[in-house]
Amino acid sequence: MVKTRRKITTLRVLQVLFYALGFPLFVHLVMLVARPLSDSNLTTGINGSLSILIAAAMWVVVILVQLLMRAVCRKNRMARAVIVALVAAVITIAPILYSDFLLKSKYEEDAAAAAEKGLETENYETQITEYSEFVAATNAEIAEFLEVFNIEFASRDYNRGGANTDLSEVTYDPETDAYYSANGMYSDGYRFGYLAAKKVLTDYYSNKLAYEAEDKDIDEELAKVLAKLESNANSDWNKYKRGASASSFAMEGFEYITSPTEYEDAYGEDGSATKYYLTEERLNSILSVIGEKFGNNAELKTLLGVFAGKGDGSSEGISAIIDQLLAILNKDLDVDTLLGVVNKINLSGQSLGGMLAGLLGEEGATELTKDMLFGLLVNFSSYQSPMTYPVYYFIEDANLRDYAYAKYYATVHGATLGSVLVGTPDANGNEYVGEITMSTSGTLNPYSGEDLLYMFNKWDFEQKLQNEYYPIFAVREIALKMSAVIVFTLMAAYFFTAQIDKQYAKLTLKTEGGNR
Amino acid sequence: MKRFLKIILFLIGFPALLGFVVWKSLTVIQEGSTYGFWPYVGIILAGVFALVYLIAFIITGVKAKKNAGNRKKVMGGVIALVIVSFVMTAGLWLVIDIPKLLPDILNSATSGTIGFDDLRENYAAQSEVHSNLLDEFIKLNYKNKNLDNEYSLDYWLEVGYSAPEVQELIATNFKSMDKNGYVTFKGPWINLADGGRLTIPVLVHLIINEREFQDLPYMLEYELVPNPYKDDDFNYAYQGAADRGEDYLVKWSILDMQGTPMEIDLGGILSDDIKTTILGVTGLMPEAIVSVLNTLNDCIADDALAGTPIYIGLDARNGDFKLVISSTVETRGMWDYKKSAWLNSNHLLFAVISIFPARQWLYIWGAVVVFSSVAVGALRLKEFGGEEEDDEGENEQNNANAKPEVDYSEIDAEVTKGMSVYERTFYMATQERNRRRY
Repeated sequence: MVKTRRKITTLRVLQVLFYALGFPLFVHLVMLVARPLSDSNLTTGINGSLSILIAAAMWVVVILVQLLMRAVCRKNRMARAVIVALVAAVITIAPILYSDFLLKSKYEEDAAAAAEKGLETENYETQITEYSEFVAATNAEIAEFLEVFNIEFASRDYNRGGANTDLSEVTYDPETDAYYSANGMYSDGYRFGYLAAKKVLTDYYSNKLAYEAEDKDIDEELAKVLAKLESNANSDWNKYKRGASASSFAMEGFEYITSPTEYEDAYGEDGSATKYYLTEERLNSILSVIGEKFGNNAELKTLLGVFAGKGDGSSEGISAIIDQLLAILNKDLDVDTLLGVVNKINLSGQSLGGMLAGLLGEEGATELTKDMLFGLLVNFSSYQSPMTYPVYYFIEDANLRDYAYAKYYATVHGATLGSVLVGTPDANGNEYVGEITMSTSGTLNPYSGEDLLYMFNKWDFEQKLQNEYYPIFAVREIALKMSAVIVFTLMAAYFFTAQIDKQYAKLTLKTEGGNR
Repeated sequence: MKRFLKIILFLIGFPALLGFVVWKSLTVIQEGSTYGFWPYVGIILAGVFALVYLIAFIITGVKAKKNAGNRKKVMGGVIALVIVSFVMTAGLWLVIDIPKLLPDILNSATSGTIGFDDLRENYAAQSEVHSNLLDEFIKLNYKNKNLDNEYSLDYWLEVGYSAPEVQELIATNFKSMDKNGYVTFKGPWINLADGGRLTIPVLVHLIINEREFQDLPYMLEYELVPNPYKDDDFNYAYQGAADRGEDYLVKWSILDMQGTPMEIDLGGILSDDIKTTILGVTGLMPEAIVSVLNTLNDCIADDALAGTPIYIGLDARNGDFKLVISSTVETRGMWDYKKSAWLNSNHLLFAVISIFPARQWLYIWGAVVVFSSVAVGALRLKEFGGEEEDDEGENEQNNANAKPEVDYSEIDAEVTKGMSVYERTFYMATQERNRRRY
C-alpha cells in the first residue's frame, strides 16, 4: 500500500519533470535568446516578442491536440501518444523548415537588394548563426550615435504643459516620433529622437553631397535663393509677409495656417513672437537703461581713466575713445548711436566698426552695419513663430528646401537645445557636435556625411532583419536543438502517466478484492 | 503552557513588528519633530494594520473556543487569520508597490524631484535633508529679520514649523516664488535648463522672454544686497539693505529657480597680463569697482532686462579671479525653487517619508507574522480542533464497528461499464468512502 503510494509519488515527480523539460524549457530558452530582440529599439510592435509568442503558440497547439486526442481517442493510449508525438515533431520542425526553405530565399533577395545599395551583407547561414551578435553590434553603434549627438532613441518635447513658448498647440506624430507646431516645424522644445535625427542628417548630407558631386556648393545656392526670395517684392515669401490672397501665390495650393495676417500677427508691432527675442526695439530699451544708469555713474570715468593709464602707452588715443563712449551714455542711447560711435572710432587707420565687421567674417567692410549686428544676434536670440511659415517653406526646389529645413534643425534648433547635429568647423577644421551648452563643449564629430548615410542605410536594413527575420531565427535556433528533446520528453511524460495509472489499477484491484 | 506559547507567538508577530517600525522611524520623528502628527503617519498606518490583525486574532481565538470540537470551523478561523496576517503585512504593500502606485504618487507630488528609490532604503538621510531645509530657512529669515529678532534664533529653531509665523512665511513667500517665478516661464526653456541643456540661446530666452506677473505679496523686512567685489582685503559679504519702495513687486529670475551661484573662472580665459592689470586697478579702488558693478546690477534688475536682480560680482580672493553670478534666493530668505517647493510641502513629505520605515519592516517582518499566525493556528487546532479526520478509512477499529456490508458489486459493475481504469478507480474510491461514511 505505502510502497505503491511512494511509487506513484516518484512517478508523478518524473512525469512533471519530463514535461517541464519539453515545451516549458523550450519557451524559456527562446525567451533567453530573444532577449536582445525584445530589448532592441529597432523592433517595432510585437516583433520584439514575436519569437516568444511563436514558441508559446507552438506549445499551445500541442496542448490543444493533446486535449482533442483525449476526447476523440479515449481508449487507445498508445495511439494518442503516437499522434501527439507526430504533431509535436511537425510543430517543432516547422519553423526550421520554414526558415531554411522559404525565408532563406526571401532573405537572399533582400540581401541582394541591400548589396546593390552598397551595403556589406552576410549570407543566410552566417545570419542564422550570428544574428544575436549583429543585433548587439548594431545596438552598440546606435547607442554611440545617440550619445555623440546628445539625444535618446525616443524623442522628447521639453515644452511645459505641451505648449510652445507662445502657448500655441503641439501635436505628436507617432510614425515619425516627432512633435510638430502648426507650421509643420518641430515644436520649440523638440529634442530629436533617433528617427528625426536620422531624417535631418539624411536630408542634410544627401543633398549636400549631391551638390558636391556636381561641383556645386549647396550653401551658396541656398543663400542665393533666399536672397532672391527676400529681395523680389513679388516672391511668395514677400506676398506671405504682406498677407496677399492665397490664390496669387506661385506655389500651388498655398494656404495660410490661420489667416492672411498671421505673419503680421507674429512679427508686427507687439507681435506674438516678438516677445521672445531681441528685437531692435527691445535692444534700444535695454541700451537706454544702460546709457542712463552708467551715464550717472561718476566712478566709471575714473575707473576707465585708470585702466587707460595702465594700458600700453597709447593712453592718449584710448582716453579719446573713452571720452567718445562716455559721451553717448545717457537715456537716448540706442543701436544707431552706438553703431555711429563704433564706426567713428579710429584705430590705427581703420574704424573699430570695420574691424568688428571683419571679425564677423564680412570681408572688406569698412563699418559695422545694423544688419551685421542683428545677423550676429540671431545666433543667440531668435524665435521662429510656430504660427508662421519660415522663408524655407517658399523655396521651390524640393531638394534645396529639404536641405534648408535640415540645416536649420541641425544647426539653429539643435544648438538651442544642446543637440547640435551639424557643427561649424573651427580654425583647425574640428567640428564639434552634440552637447554644446554653457558648461560643455560638445563631442568631436566622429562621422563624415558619407559615414552617416552609410550607417543609416545599414541600420534600416538591420531594422528590417530584426523585425522580419531574427524572431524566426531565434525560434529556429532553439527548435533545432530541442525538437528531438521535446518529442522524447513528451513521450516520457506519457509513459510515466501510464505507469501512474498502472499503479492506481493495482490499488483498485486490492480494494475490489477486499484484501487490505 | 499552550497559552504561554500562544502569547509568545503573538508577541513576536505584530507587536514586535510595531516595535521595529517605531525604532526605524525614530530619526524621521526626531527630524520632523515640529511638524505635528505628520511624521507619525507611517507608525499610525502600521498601528491600524496591527489593530486589524489584533481584531482578527481575538475573533478567531474566541470562535475557536466556541466551536471547540468542530475541526472544520476551527480550521476556517486559522486560515482566515493567516490570510489577514499576510494581507496586513506584505500583501497590501505588494498591491501598492507592484503597479507602481506609490512611486507614481510620489512622482506627481514632487514633480519627479524625489524618486521612490531615493526613499526606499534611504528614508533616514532624506528626513535629515528635509529637516535641514527648515532649519536653514529659519536661520536665513532670522538674519533678514523676517522672524522677530526679539526672540533668540534658538527659540525659532526649537518651535520650527509649529510656529504660525513660520508657516505663514513659507506659504506666502513660496506662492510668490511659484506664481511670479516658476509658472511664468512658458515653453521649453526652464525644462531645458533643468535637463542639463542650458545653452546660450536658452539662457537668453529665460532672461529676455516677456513674462506675466501677478500682484502677490512677499514678506521681506530687510533685503540684504551682496557686496559684488571681494578680494583678500575687501571682503564684506553684504553692503547693507536694498530700498525697494512700498509697491515693489518681487519677481523671480531663472537664476533664482536654480539657486546656486554660477562661477566662471576668468583667470583661465584672460591672459596673465590682463589679469594682473585688472587686479592692480580693482585692488587699488575697490569702492569704484563696487559702484560700477552695482550700476550693472541695477541695469539687469530693470524691467527692460531681467526685471529682478541678478547679482554679478568679481571674486579675487586667494589668488583667484572669478566672475560670480548669484541669485537673490539667499538674500530674500529662500531656497532654490525645488527645495522651496519641498519646504512648502515638507509636512506632507514627512508623512510620505514616515511611511517608508513602516513599509520596509512590514515586508521584512511579514514572514514572521505569517509564521506566528500559522503556529498559533496549529496550537488552536490541537486544542479545539477535536480528532483528526481520517480520509482513507485506514482506521481498522472504525471498520469493525461498521454497519453490515451491503453488496454494491452489481450496481458498480453496471455503472463502471466503459470506464477507463483510472476513472473506475476514482469511482470506486469515491463510492467506498461515501458508503463507509453514511
